[in-house]
Amino acid sequence: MFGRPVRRKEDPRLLTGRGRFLDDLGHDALAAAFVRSPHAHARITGIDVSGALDVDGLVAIYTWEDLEGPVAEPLPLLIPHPELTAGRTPYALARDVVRHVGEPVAMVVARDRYLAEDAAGLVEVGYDPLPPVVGVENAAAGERLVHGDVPGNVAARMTQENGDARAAIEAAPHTLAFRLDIERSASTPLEGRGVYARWDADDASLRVYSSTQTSTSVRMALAAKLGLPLPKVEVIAPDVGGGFGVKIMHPWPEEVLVPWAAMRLGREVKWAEDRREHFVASAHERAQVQYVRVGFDDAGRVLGLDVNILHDNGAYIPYGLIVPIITSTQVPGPYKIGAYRVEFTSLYTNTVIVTPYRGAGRPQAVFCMERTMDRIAAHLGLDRAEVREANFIRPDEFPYDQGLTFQDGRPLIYDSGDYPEALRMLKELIGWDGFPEVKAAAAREGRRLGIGLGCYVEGTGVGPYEGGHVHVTTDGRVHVSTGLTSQGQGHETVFAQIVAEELGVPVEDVTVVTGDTRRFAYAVGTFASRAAVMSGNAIALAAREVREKALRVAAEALEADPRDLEIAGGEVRVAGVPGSGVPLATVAVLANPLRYAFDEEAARATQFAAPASPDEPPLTGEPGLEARGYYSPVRSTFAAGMHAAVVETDQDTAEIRVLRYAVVHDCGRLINPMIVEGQIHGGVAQGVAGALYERMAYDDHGQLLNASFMDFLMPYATEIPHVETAHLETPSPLNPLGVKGAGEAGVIPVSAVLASAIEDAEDLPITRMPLSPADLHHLRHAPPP
Amino acid sequence: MKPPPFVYHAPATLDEALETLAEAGPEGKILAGGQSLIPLLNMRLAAPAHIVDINRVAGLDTLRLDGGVTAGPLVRHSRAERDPGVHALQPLLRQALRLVAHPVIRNRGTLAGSVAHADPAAEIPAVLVLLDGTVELVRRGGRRTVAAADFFTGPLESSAEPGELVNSVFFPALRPGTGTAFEEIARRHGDFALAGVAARVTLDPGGHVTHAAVTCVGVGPVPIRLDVTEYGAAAPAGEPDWRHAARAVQAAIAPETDIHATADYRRHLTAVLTGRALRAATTRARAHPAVPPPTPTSRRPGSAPPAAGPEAALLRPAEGPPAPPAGAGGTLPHAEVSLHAGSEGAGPGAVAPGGTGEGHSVVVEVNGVVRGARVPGRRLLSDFLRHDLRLTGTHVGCEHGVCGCCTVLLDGEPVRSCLTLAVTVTGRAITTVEGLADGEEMSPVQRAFAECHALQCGFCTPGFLCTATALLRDNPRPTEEEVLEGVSGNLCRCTGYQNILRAVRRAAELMAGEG
Repeated sequence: MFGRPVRRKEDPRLLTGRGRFLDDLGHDALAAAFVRSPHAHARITGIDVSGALDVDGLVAIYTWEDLEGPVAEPLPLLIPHPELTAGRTPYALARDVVRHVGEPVAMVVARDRYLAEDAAGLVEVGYDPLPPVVGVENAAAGERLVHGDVPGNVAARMTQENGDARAAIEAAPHTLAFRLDIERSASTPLEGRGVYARWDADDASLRVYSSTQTSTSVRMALAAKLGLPLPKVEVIAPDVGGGFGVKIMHPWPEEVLVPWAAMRLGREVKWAEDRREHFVASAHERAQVQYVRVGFDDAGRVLGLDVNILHDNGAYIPYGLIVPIITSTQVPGPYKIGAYRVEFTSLYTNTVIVTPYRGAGRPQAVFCMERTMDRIAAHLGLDRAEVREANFIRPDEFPYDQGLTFQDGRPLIYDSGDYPEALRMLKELIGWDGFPEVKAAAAREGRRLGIGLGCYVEGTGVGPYEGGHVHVTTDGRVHVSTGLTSQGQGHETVFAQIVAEELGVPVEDVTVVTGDTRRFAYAVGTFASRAAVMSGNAIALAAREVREKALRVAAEALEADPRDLEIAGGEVRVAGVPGSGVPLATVAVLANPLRYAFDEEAARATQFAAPASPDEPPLTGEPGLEARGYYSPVRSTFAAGMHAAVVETDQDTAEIRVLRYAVVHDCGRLINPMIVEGQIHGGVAQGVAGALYERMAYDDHGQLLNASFMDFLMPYATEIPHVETAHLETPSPLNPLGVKGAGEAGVIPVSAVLASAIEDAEDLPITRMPLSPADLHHLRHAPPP
Repeated sequence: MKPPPFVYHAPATLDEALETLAEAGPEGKILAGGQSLIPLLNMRLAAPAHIVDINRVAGLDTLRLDGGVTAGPLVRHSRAERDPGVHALQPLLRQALRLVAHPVIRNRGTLAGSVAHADPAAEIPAVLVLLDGTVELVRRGGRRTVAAADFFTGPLESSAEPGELVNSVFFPALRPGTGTAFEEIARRHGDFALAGVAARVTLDPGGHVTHAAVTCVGVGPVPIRLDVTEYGAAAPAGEPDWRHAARAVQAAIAPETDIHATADYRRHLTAVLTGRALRAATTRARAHPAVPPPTPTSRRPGSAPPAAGPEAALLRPAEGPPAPPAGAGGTLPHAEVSLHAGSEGAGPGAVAPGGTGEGHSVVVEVNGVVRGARVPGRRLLSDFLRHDLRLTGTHVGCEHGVCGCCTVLLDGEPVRSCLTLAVTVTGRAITTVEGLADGEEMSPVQRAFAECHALQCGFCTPGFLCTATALLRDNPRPTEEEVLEGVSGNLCRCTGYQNILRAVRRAAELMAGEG
């Protein structure tokens, strides 16, 4: 089962309309809508709800004044960090000041969403506009402040250094200095956020459904915010229509307010975010300005690298410094950098908050490093692939310590990899060495082609831990649960494959539940390409424990030595002797000594049925054929990959077309290659989107000008190239399954790769992404520097 | 993103519609295809007090081929695009229609609606202007015909008066020796163009250019028409050099900068596209037979026979004088979509907005079962299916018609249920994702999606399944390009589309194997 392209267990329900997404639940719930700030920065002078009170079906309108206790306090700073000295988080409903367009000011509850929107439109809020801070450089100038008590708009400034980079650059035979820019984009799952809360007043308990990437942490946050005992709160992530990072942020204002209102009203309340809200009230990512200085030798080996990053964290910083920390630590990639210094400044702006979006700071890091590699190659007149080769960490140098501290607070030590082999495979796949002839032939036809490449290393599978529960029931079926959530990754399938492999049962007999705190309450969440590594290994460990127990129980029944037994074909038997044992279902019966029989199978476990030693207790350990397992790694595992692309740029219109896209990918052992490839395809598509189509177009007033799918250019099938893939498997020595994460891989180097290819086609330096045809046109016609 | 309350009117006759419109006044809006109006309602950028839904008025879907193409107000883009008679008579229509949004939008959108909406970036107004077409407007107690050149007055503004309805639009037939082309550049396939150029070139039997004109879209407040005959006529026969024409057009336009393109880039593109369109039109002019197109026919049973033969088409008014270049750009006021206007008061069949107890009985056949509910006029079909009928397989991803998650089959044709009022489709048949399987047996399209790993989170999947099901029914052996075009109006954020395209091709194989 492990390693095979098993078809997904999720698909039959999703293909027949039987999936259950957030807004598919709670048809009778009241609907919430929010009055949101139309200003990027303003003082609230008054809120007048009187005009809304006549709306038929209106149930309640709340403002910050109505909130009480912890709900009235600022939302939590989720990931504290010693360097985050000026961390600011929003209130669930704005108190006095709004700091970005879309910030919630009032909550309306009504019989349905149409009526709630009617009422929300009639709430009048008085604003006294304040000067907005838009753009990271304006923020750095510090002339206007997002938070009056945060000088210079600086949330945090942090430096990491391995060696004396500045001295190394000074002493280097060659040096270069340049600036790079990356604009905002966003996860933009097709299902927005959503929360549906049911308060049971009789039981004083709360059940919340949330379209989240972490139901366990939402549960703990809600218990804390709402003052409820943890056992009285259940949170369930139903089918989730995509996350890509934005749904790891929590608790959202709406995620607290909807359950709070449900408790207050004694009614079910639901909020399903609409598309416009998602643009202005969820989270964005990516925007950075990078200043790079590099020193290198004649072979292109990097002797010193000094990077200074301005990072736009938006109006608040509830998710802490994770994104800029990842950028700053993943810059070195697969390379041995002589000496490396990185400093970032995380700055407030009057825009939507910034939290991880698939890749989470890595695309910016790879853009920085790979643009640097191309610059070095151009400066020395060397082949771009050769320069990378000259800098690679060699296969015999693992574990390799980059001398930095990663996002999990642990040393940045790479576990395994084979970068020279990956590059060799990539060059073969894309036809790197033969490309000059291809390019020349195209040029003779008046066509402009270019090739580019990019390499990355991705820390995946970060801790602290995940757990898994495996339970064989007396019908022989295997029920698996884990606390982290799913948003399309196929966890139900790959975790079932792992269990089927470990227990020797058909994959059809295994069902998997994720993200339901009723089934598994201890978890961290789904982010950082960690589910297969963390829950996969935890479930494998739980399955191994179940296996041991099954062998022990069966050995007693068979009066055999457990060491002589195996599980195969759903039977515990003498190794290699089919039909010699007992079905796993029976072992599950025997694992739970009974007094009462309710069917014939159960009767086998009752006190007068089974031969038992009268001097031993009937139960050893815990009853039932089930076990929990937890996996907590000492540090992250490091996947890697290399991409290459061939682009054509139209000489007349400056349109950019990706003709070929090739990926060599190493995520350790593959559990399901079909699913891994699907993850890569989708990641590359998001990468192409971020490189050529998508951005958040804020004007100087902090208005988001493209807050719709009309103007935020998420690509259709017509814009996305075919992706050719090849796999390299260097197992991770850190975990029992030898796996590394794959979820984010596809997106990470795409901007770097396409910049490299466009630069090759155009012979113009590409220093910013995304790049539109209009941008390219103006680059072509810009006056020479 | 739900429409604001309005009084919904569903007149059964044209007279009743005009009466209602007259009484609704400036607060009245006509709903035909709704592909532009309903997004504005959902975003609450328009809040008309009265919606006059003409979809149940008999006889408004007449497509007459008679010296040209005359399209009634309910002639959908897709019908005009597919109709071979339309193509034979005026090929520029199909050339342009293939650039109008995506196939699913074209299934609902109407030619008359495109004209009435008067979006300066839209293709159909440009075609109408280039061809010297006309717009027939009707109102209570009167009708008039307006030349295309006079109809468009500004961005989303036209010369239609309060209470008037576009009763038909007339696109003159192609003349012998004439070729046309439509070239545009959009950021994504199907988006409004950054710049676009429709061209028409007429050659005499010796190959000399006797007439050439272009209409530019996206670069001014209205479609901008320019006569470029002189640049072609100056060249030797058969070898017109359009570079000067391109430069002249570039100099004549004054586009604006927006988030997608600068004014300079748009000017540059317009020059490039002018050259491309004129060259393509010239090539087609050479190939266009001097013999007339096939005998015109009425495309609607029972409508009057054509009043004139093909010769009549040739006698349509010749080219008018070239339109002057557009004024100096500047910021023109962005009017809301004032399709039509009139005076005060509720018309016949009016139902009050919003509340409980009131509303419209909507009865539809869904997946073969007759279902009904009483809903407000503003209830979107997507919400009706999901929340009133509890068929939650149809998903809602944007509520402005771009993502395609909500695509269902309306009488077999894929449409956006978020851009359709439930009450509009009462009496019709709908297929949702829940109706694609045969009992527990998944359809070939569904099985192919599973086999090819064509879904991840599954949220966009129902829209793709419905779209692909209709595509393969109409075209069981699609080429790769046809598959790509067929699903090009649906967004997926997970898969990168590669496996979806593979799955549609695989479904075709499965269906062929079963057939």
